[in-house]
Amino acid sequence: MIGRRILRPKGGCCLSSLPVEQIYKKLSDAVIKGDSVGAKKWTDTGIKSGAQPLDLVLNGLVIGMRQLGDRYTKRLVGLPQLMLAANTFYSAMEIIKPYLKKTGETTGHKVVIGTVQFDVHDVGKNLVKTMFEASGYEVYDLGNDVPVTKFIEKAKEVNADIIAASTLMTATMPQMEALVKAAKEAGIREKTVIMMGGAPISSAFVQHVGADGSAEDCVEAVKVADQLLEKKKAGA
Amino acid sequence: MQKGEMNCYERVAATLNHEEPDIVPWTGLTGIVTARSAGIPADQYAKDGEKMAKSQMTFHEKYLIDGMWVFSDVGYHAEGFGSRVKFVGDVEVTPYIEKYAVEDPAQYEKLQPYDPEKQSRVPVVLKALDIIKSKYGDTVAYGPFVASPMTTATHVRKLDNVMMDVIQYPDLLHKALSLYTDQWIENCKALIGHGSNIIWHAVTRGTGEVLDLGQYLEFGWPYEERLEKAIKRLYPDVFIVEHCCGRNPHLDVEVKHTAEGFNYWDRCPARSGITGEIASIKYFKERWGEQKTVAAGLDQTRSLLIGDPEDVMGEARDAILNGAKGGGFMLAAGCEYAVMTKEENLKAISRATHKWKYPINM
Repeated sequence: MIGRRILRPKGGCCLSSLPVEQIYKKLSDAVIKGDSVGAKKWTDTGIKSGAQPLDLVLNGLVIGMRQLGDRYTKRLVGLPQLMLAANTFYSAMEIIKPYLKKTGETTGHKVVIGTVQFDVHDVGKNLVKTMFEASGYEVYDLGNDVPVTKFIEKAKEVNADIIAASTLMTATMPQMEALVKAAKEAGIREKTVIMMGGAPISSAFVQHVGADGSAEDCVEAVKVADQLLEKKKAGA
Repeated sequence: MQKGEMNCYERVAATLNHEEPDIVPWTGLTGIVTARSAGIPADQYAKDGEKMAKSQMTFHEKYLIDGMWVFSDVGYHAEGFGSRVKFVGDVEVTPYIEKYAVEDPAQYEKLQPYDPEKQSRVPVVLKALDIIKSKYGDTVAYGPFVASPMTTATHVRKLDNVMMDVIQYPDLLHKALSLYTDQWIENCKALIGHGSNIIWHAVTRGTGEVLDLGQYLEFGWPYEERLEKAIKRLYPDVFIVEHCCGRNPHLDVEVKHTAEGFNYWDRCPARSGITGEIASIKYFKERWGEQKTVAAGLDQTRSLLIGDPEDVMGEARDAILNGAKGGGFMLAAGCEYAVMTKEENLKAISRATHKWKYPINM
């Protein structure tokens, strides 16, 4: 696993009457239930209690997202629950982010993500973004209907490790091929992992257009990203 | 190349009636790919009934497709509710919804039914159907893309918002779904009145990646069934074939719908949203083959798109081998044929149906 902080609860008591492990559990439960009010409350409690902000993210919020993500992968829940959990995750992150910046805690690599031009479907892309952020990646979300040139410009600007492009429609699949070509022309193909996602994208297609990888869903996307970065590093 | 003894409509009808036709019919969601075959820009195809008809007929005659899906883009009906579609000129891009009619839940209350003869782009399809009917009569199976009420919901309001409505505003969503169902009944009256002899009912949200089974049974299935029952009550001779997108279709309950046929992406490979088992054509035929015709077998993202004619022929042979015996099978891709699907691959589909024809003795 690259750039991932080893999860190690600080243990013991904190200023709250609850042990910090229980605050983590409250946070993960709130994400799973889609309880934004509870997530914000326990985030506040955790911070006031002196818990490390990043630990609240990694041991609480992320655990909740992963557990729900696993249930989604098994099709035990649908998109509504997953999206509610993602909203809950972000509502707590809004509180935590300023503290993370203060302490300078970062964990990850840089990802430029977006839905390709002429396609406005972004639910899958947003969930992948959530899982990337939940896993410590620094994510630059370009939104949807994104021209190839914009992907490349942003990747160059932030020195991205990964470009992740999504499409839901077969009609916009040619944009994927154009993206790989543009990355080559811009001289960033060798150093950048290019991932593709969306319902019509298969590993055969990824190979065909010369990209690096794809994943079945948002949970697997991060695992694939980790592996591809590892491979890239080993090959460097 | 000449077709067999039956005409295209008879071939499709025999299959949907579980009789063996002369050769396996082929069909599937053909939209902008037909415009390409006629050299017509996508935006013009989507806005002009004459060009849509010309494209569909050119495609039919060039590739010998039996079941024509007269379709441009998912926004054609949602414009009637106020969604706005973006058309892109010069390039072969399917028009897409750039602004949704319902951005705030309160706007659900403002939705009004529309006149399919005059409003939205349904009239474009009606015009195309008139032209197709005048040329082919009932010798070809042709019909429109009819979005299920829950699919429509995501054309009127953005998918992620609708997903939140499932949890946060279920009553408003139910009310809207009821309106969409009534609207589609009216739309279908117009579409069938203008010649459609088959309805391609797109149940694109009936898959485990979108709704879990409980949500689908509450927000999807009942409205879909109300629509299909209404069509059958009014037009008993018009066939209905359902189409479900996604990797985890809720097959076990979807097959209980009134529709005679079912189209899904078996090659992804689809897994049942309930049992998790791989839902191959063989799996489908063994369980539901006597009650439901299956339309599947071709992969729009692999063999057709990046394979060669031999790949398509091989895939078609396998599908025919597993699905065609006894009728109840159409060869089809699991979703829309991509606009850049190779011409020689499209030609290979018909070649396969002629090579491995009835009686199936492979």
